[in-house]
Amino acid sequence: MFPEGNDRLILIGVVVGVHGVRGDVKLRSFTSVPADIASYGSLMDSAGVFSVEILSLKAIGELFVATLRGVRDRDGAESLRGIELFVPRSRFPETDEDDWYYADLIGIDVVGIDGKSFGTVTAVDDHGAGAFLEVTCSDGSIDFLSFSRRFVPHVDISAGRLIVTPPDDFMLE
Amino acid sequence: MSRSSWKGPFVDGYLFKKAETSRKSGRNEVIKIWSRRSTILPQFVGLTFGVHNGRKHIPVSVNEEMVGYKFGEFSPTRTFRGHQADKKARRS
Repeated sequence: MFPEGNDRLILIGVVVGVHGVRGDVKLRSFTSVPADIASYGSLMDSAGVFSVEILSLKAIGELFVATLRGVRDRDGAESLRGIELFVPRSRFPETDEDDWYYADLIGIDVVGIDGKSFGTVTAVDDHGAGAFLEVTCSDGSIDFLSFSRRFVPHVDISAGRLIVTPPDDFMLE
Repeated sequence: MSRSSWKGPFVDGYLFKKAETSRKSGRNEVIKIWSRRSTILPQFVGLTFGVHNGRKHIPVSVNEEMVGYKFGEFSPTRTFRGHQADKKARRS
């Protein structure tokens, strides 16, 4: 089970293969700027026990060839194939005033100004027309809410809730 | 082949009416539309449309940079979310 709060682990990449005979591995990065995967220091596995550190990174198509500290031969690299790479949430840099990490928004409660609960945020998306939240009600119904000051006037990550002023027909479909 | 310029941009007529009604009401509402083919016009800037993607209405907050595009371009019918990793959402 992942720890909660800022110590919880966030998936940022995966080892998809090996490269050459010197222990290099092929990585797929999930970070918004792919090369940033090397900037988070040592990366952990899903249990948080095993860690690797990226020494160098070279882009090849959509993947990266990475040299990892302590991995010097192909057998060592083969043993890492398929391992997912996580980083504690606390290592993410601070965001600007109106920016929030998806990882912080997903899972928090959506509450109206009058205290009415609408459900929880299950996904965040942005297709080029501003970010929006996918809100899932307790009965399983899903609706979308534009992530704007107009509809989400207050974001309180520490309290685990968003105060919203949704449109009249929100959650009525 | 692109659309002849003498025709002007295509917009389904009912959008003007809906947009105008929404502006006048001043309420916190999303204008639900099914017309993915309509061009985004300058008079829609500042409004939030719910553009149907075949399943749900996806919120589209119109800004100046979106003028000239079609509504459907901002409401994909197939979604691959990928991993959240360190992605950030900006509140508009």
